[in-house]
Amino acid sequence: MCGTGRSKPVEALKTALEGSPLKTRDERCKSANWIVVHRAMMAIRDIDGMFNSLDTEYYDILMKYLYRGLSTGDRPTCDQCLKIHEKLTERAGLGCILRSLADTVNTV
Amino acid sequence: SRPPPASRLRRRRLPLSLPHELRQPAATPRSRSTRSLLSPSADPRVRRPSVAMANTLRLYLTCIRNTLEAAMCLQNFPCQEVERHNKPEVELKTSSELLLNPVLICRNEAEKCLVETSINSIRISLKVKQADELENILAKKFLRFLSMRAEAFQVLRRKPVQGYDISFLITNYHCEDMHKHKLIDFIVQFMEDIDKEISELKLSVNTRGRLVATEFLKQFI
Repeated sequence: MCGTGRSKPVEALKTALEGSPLKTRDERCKSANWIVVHRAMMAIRDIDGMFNSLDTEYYDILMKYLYRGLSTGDRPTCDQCLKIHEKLTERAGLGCILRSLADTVNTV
Repeated sequence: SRPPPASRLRRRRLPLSLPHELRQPAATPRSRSTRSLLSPSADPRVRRPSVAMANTLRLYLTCIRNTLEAAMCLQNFPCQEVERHNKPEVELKTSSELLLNPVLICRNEAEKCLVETSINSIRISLKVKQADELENILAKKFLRFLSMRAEAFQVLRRKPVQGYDISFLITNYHCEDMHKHKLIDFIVQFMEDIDKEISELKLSVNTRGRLVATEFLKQFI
């Protein structure tokens, strides 16, 4: 994936979120996509800039991935996820969190 | 690297006549135990939150607060299996349509918070940071003390969930009697205060140990 790296982490994140396997039940597929999203998320430094260029339709999927990242327990991942979570909640509101909690069909 | 903090430079010296065994107690083989008789301000194991740590703590508590505000949407729901019964569904987990996704929020490897929601109840389980054996014992005893008095707290659970230190169970009846935002404030405040309490307990244990040792050994001087 050419976008993953120092040059365009936001585009990498967008591509990774677009390709997220919400409808499948295959754990390996979901883990593979999670690895890509994780790399893209850890590469992002400017969180406000990321939200300025990210469309609102990706907020829900991003929130689900954030909770997946928070459950890993790895310190740098959790730090980054907590920072993004705060900003995302300010932008998207509590409804975004509730949709990620309530959606048992499309899990990430 | 960084110069030592000023508190470490003010370290009180032990009286020179104390035998060497006291400076390095033989019971605990770890080298860090040599500092157990130092004054608390010089004790490096006492947690003083640095700016960066305070920031992650703030983010962690904000995340938990937002999650709880979204997840605490409880309504009355009589039991589906048994008539005239009303049970907290998050404890039984019999019907999957009544449960929401459980969410685990970790701050680091040691601290985490599990939030499980259902239609009429929410269960919040916490694991507090325990840096060494003493904090382990203190946290266990202190939280067991609180859990045994769960009736006074109303929202506390008598036994913590497996793998955690303390659990809260909030039902729709609690939300009807009490303000939702106050319940969330209570839980977040509890998390902040637990850390301070355990640090204070540890300080007092170390201070008492030091005083007892100096008093006891005065007879040998």
